[in-house]
This record gives sequence, C-alpha cells and structure tokens, in this order.
Amino acid sequence: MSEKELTAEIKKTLTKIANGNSTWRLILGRESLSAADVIQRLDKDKKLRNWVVKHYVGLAVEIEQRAREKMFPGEK
Amino acid sequence: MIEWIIVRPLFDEVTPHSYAWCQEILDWLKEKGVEFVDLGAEDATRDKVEAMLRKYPQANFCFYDHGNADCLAAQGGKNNAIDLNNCDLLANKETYTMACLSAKVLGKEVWNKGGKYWGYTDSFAFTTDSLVEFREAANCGFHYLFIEGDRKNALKRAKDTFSRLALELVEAGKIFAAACMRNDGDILVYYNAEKPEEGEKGCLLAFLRLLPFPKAS
Repeated sequence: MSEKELTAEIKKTLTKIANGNSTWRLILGRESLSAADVIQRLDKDKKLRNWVVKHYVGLAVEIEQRAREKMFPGEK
Repeated sequence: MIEWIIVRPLFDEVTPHSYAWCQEILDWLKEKGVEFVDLGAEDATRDKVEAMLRKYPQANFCFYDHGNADCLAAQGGKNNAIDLNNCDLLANKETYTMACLSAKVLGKEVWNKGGKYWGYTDSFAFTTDSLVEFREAANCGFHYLFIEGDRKNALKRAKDTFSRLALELVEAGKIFAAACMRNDGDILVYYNAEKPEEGEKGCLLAFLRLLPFPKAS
C-alpha cells in the first residue's frame, strides 16, 4: 500500500469520525482541529501527513508483534 | 511543609482538559497528606510562580499545559511562567510537566542546573474522544514517581502505559487517538533517569557533570 492509498484510508476513517461525532477534535499543541480540518490538512501539510502515517504504520507493526507474542510465546 | 508547587493555566480551548487532568494529581497529593500550592487559572502568572518558587525552595514543581521548546506558558499564553531566564529556580528539584516541547531545550537546561525533568520533546497530541485515557497517560508518571516512589522504573512503566493504552484505543476503534497516544509515549523523556541526548552544540557543563568529582583531601 502506498502512502497515498494509506492516507486515503485514513481520510475515510476521519470522515466516519466527523459523521458520528461532530464535537471530535484533534488537539495538537495549541491547535484544535475538527475531523474535517484534519482531512484538509492531510492534503496540504506534509509534516502532519508523515506524522499520521508513521504512527498508523507503527501501530500496525505493534499489533502484529503482540499477536505473534500471544500465538508463539517462546519465539525470539 | 509545602512539597509541591502546581501550575495549571486555564484560558483557551485546550487548557480546560489539562487543567482537569491535573486535578487528579492534586487529589493524589491530598490523599497522601502532601501539602502543595495550587497556582491555577488567574494565579498561574510568572510573578506568582517565581514568588512561590522563592518562598518554598524545597518544593518540587509541576506544570500542566502549553509549552514551547524553551518555555512553559503563563496564564493567557502571552507570557512565560518559566523560561531560560528564570529556570534556575528549578535547579536541584523535580519538575513534572505535561506540556508540548519543553523537554527539548528547557528540560535540558534544568538538567544542566542539577534538576530532574519529566516532559515531552515534541507536541503532545490527544483527541477529545479519549480524554480519560489521555489523562491516565499524562498523569501515570507522577503516580509512579512520587506516589509510589518508583524512581528507577517510572519512565519505562510510563512508556509501557502509553503503549498499552494505544493498543486498547485501537481495539476500541479509536485509531486516531491511538496514533496520538503512540506519539506521546515516543516523545516522553525523564532527564536523570535518562540523560538528555548529546546536543548538537555540546555542553561543557553537562560533560563536566559526568566526570568524577575530586575529593578534598
């Protein structure tokens, strides 16, 4: 999956958040962003896009690692 | 005896959350019978912070909310409660912060002056759908360090807590909150448990602190 495709998936998630919870905000430092704001920013703001993608991918790796630890407890 | 000076500004859309999270710290201290000064909202000014730090030089320092690389913001956000010009007031004490970026420069400077500094090297991020989890993450280090007294493992335990919460948020379908939680755990540092990374400029004072001190004969 390319970064573009991953970003598109993340935007779908944000759209669901925006539709389900209009008061949802991402607080990033002093900024308070609605889901719609984040969707817009993902197109323009490379730093934010890289930040989001980095942590999505990082979480995927951690989930995989944890699943292997459960499935194969002695594995090194 | 006053053991803690707690500073928690309250003025914009973000600070009500950190102000409320910090209340849990005050409740823990009250339960433990620890005396503290609460400089909240309008009291969170530079003058009052400096005055309290001078009046109670033995007290540790706790700060919740906005910061930058070299400062912690005062009430209103225009002035600094603490910056590089008055951070000698934090020398030789514990400083616990929930503030963006301040560990990057200010925390290192406090460490260079003999203080210990708990903080974040980049922007602390959170989402409003998971405030209970972010409160737990922001406060857990204080509990490990000062309520339980676990100085040795507090940072590792805190980072484990951030990781656990991130995975719990994934399971709860809150993936964006999980990404923020993962970020916050990554950028958390405790200077003294771990030394600041060797800076680009290099610091002679920090280097000298690592050398064995000659004993007087």
